[in-house]
Amino acid sequence: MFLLSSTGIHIPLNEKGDAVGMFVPSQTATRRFTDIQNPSKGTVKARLSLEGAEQPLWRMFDDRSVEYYGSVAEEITERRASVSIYLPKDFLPEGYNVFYYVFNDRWVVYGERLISDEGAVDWVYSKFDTVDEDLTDFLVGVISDRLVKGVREKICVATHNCVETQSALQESLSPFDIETVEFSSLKLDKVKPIYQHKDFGILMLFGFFCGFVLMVATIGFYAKSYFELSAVQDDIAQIQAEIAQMQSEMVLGHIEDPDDVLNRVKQPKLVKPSSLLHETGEIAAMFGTLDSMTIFYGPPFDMGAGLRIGLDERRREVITTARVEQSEAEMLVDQENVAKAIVTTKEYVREIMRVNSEDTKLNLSVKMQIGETE
Amino acid sequence: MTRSGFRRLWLLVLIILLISSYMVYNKTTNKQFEIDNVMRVKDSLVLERESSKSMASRLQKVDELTLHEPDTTRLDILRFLGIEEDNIFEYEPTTRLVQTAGGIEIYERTFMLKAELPYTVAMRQIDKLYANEKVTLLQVSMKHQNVPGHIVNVEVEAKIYALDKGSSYSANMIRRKR
Repeated sequence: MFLLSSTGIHIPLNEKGDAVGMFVPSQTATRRFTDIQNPSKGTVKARLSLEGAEQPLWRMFDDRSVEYYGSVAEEITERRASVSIYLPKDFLPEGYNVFYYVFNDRWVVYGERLISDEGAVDWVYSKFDTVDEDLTDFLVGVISDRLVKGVREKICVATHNCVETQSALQESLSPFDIETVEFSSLKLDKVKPIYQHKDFGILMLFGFFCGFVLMVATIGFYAKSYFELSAVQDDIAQIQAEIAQMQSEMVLGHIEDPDDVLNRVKQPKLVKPSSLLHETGEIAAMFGTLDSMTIFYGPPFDMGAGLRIGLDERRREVITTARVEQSEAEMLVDQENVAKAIVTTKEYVREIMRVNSEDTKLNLSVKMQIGETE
Repeated sequence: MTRSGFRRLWLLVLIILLISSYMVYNKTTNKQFEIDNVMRVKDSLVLERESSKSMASRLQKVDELTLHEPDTTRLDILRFLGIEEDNIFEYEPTTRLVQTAGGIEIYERTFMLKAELPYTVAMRQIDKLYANEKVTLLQVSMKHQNVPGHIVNVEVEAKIYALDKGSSYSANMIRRKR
């Protein structure tokens, strides 16, 4: 708690942390303004033509008029921690109209509520320095003078930091039925201070922290990008080296289209020739004594007299030929029955054709399925 | 320190932090653009490497499946067919055609392989030839021989391919073998 008036700071602010102050305005310095639009610290300061660090002590009323009490010393405005300054009447409990606040066994702040003939309420304040006289005697004197006048009023006496005079005051004022209370017990009830500045230290620290984190993050992002770029550049060098080595080791580099060459050179391997030959032989042996058999791996063509041979890759069909010694007594119808039986029992045999040659030999062509068609 | 002094210092530090962050961020965005560019280069190089790899593997396959035409001897062909040590088949070259494919000349060598073999051996030898990727079978004939032991007369008509693999090819092959 500190005390100040338009003449200076009477009880200086020594302790750290948030502080509450009391300003005792003088009747002559107090001015009322009704011409300030949107009253704020800035507009009031502008209206009063205050400059620099000088801050106004002011309060706005319900009719938007502004009362100016004086200005705050730089010593207060430059304090890092929060400061709130109130008028003496702001501490007064409801129902009292006169108060005496005693500070540090020395300073007495007096206030009285006055009501004019028009019913307007006004407060007058005084402060006394009792350094050269006895505080208890002074206070008892002024209070007894008031009581002698016989005006009905309720007086509040509060002490702050009064180690020596607290008990003496209490004892001396008890005959007047006035109780001395501790100033700390007086509460400020929803009243706005006439000056206030807050400690934004935490907020500023948070802002600094955000800025610091932002910078660290951008530096981190930069470092990540730098290393990423280096890694990609290393990769590129490695790939270029690999390509160069591959090209130096590449054989047959003069071939423009190796796929074309491969398509020409590679033969599709559909079915083993031994399977085809053995199957052809088995089928042919049912018509007579096997003489010879042939597989042709090219596209099917007519060998003459309707006898076909070849491999149809698209339809997955192969036509093989066989030559058998046929019995002269063999009936044509019997051969047909044998062929039908073979086609019926062996599902992959699609067709058996026979072509008689000029001698006793019989030429057969056997069409077989060698897989699923495309 | 006074309230306004502290506030000025705080503002100064904050402005320095923000300006330096902005400058570093600007540098980082430039780096990111650079990364985008080199990534594009890398992607194209990766594609080039993959296509080179694929090309090399296909050329390697062509190399495996073909002979080097200028130096080809009978022994080379038998070795190419994998029958140089068996001494089973009688090799008889028939035709040699020149075709064009993939921008180069391909030499198509057709030949006959003849042998008299037991039936099972003949089948095995024909399958072995068929399984050889280097050989393209054209026709396989088998004729029964009226001799004991299921001996058959086998005739295989097939073809192989050869290329002119360049003058440095033989030297390279020797170096690789070493």
